[in-house]
Amino acid sequence: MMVGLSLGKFRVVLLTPKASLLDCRAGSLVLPGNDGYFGVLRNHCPMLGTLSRGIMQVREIPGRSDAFFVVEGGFVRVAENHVTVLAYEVTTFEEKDEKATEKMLYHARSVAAGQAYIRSQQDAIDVDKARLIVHMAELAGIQLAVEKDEQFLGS
Amino acid sequence: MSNTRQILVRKNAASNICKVTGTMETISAVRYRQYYNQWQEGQAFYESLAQLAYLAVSAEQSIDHPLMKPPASKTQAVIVIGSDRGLCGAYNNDLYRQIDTHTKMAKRFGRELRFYAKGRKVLSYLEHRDITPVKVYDEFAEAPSAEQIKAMADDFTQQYLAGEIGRLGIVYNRFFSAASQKVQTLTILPVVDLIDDLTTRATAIWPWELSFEEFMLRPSAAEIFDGLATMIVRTSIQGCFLEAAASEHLSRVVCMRNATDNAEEMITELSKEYNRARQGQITVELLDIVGGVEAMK
Repeated sequence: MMVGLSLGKFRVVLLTPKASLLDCRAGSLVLPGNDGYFGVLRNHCPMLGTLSRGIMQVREIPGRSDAFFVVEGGFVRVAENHVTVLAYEVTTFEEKDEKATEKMLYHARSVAAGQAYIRSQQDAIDVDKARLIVHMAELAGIQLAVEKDEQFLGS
Repeated sequence: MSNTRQILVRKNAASNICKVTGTMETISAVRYRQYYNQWQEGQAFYESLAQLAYLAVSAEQSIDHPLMKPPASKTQAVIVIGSDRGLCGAYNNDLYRQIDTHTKMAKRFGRELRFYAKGRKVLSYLEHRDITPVKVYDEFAEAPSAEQIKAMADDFTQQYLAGEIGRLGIVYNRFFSAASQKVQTLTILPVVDLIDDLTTRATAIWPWELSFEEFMLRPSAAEIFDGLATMIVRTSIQGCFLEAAASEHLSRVVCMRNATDNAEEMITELSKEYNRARQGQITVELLDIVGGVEAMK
């Protein structure tokens, strides 16, 4: 059974100059390449590539849910079932508590909706990035508490 | 024996200093922790970057890229990263010496120097030497944001490609470990020199038996190298600012700890002296009374 868990998996490492954000085994990976999104599975051929801004999806991680990251360009090296992603900057819901997640999502949604004027200087994000964050939340199934309540009441 | 009041004043002054230095130590210790953690977390990134860089430069087909070409100009740009405030030991002094070395070298080899300054201390030293910096980075406190780094790196790369500068060096306190920080000049441009530094400081270079030719490249080799060079330049500049900040706070912690220890020692000494002086005063007064009584008899 344990063998089955690690079968068809490969190692994924996500690094930025400020932090190493992910080091795990995964079953599949989707990355924003310079000419569009591409997927990586086990036994992918050795590859070097540049990344553009987009959402990185890490799926089928043993023992936890899928991970999603908004990557701001960078590099990927795939070699011998070992994927290293070097990114300039990464935005993610990973390892954030509920409150911080909610705040980020709320902020991103308001920017995406065109209410950029309320943003503060410190965590200013552009519309493009806000849309990516909103999309990432959809992929990860993250909702605001209000919406969860609405769903609960509706059902 | 000095007056008790005088001793008391000195003791109070020492205890005030002790409080101030103690607070500065605590603040810097917290900041240092933050920068140190960032630095440590980033090590894996630089290691991987070095592997990529090594892979790219060890390719059989030589990469034809403008950033790989030897410098076209004799002008040298130097970014000096110092601190805004003093009270951090020899942190800034070593930087000054490095500035002097650069000026002398430039004179000797007929190069033109352009200084870019960060930190008020550096600025005042350059002023003292009658050097006008081309630009002063005062829009951020210690570590610049990603956008600021991007703008900085792009600016210098542009200048290099246009032939306005032939070299870019950063003078800063490099953070080797918690026990060792040293002033050095890191050459950022030409990129080949930087890759040299990256690959020699990395601990593991290329554990796999794959060469550049075996990789599928998306996009072409030249474009990959272009992206790689940009990333190396950008993240190295960022790393320099981070290391400089970590070194600054660490040296302030060490300095302020020494100052606090000295102040505490002084307070103990002064307390002893004060008690002795007070005791002496009481004795004198008692003797006076006793003497007076004796005289009345």
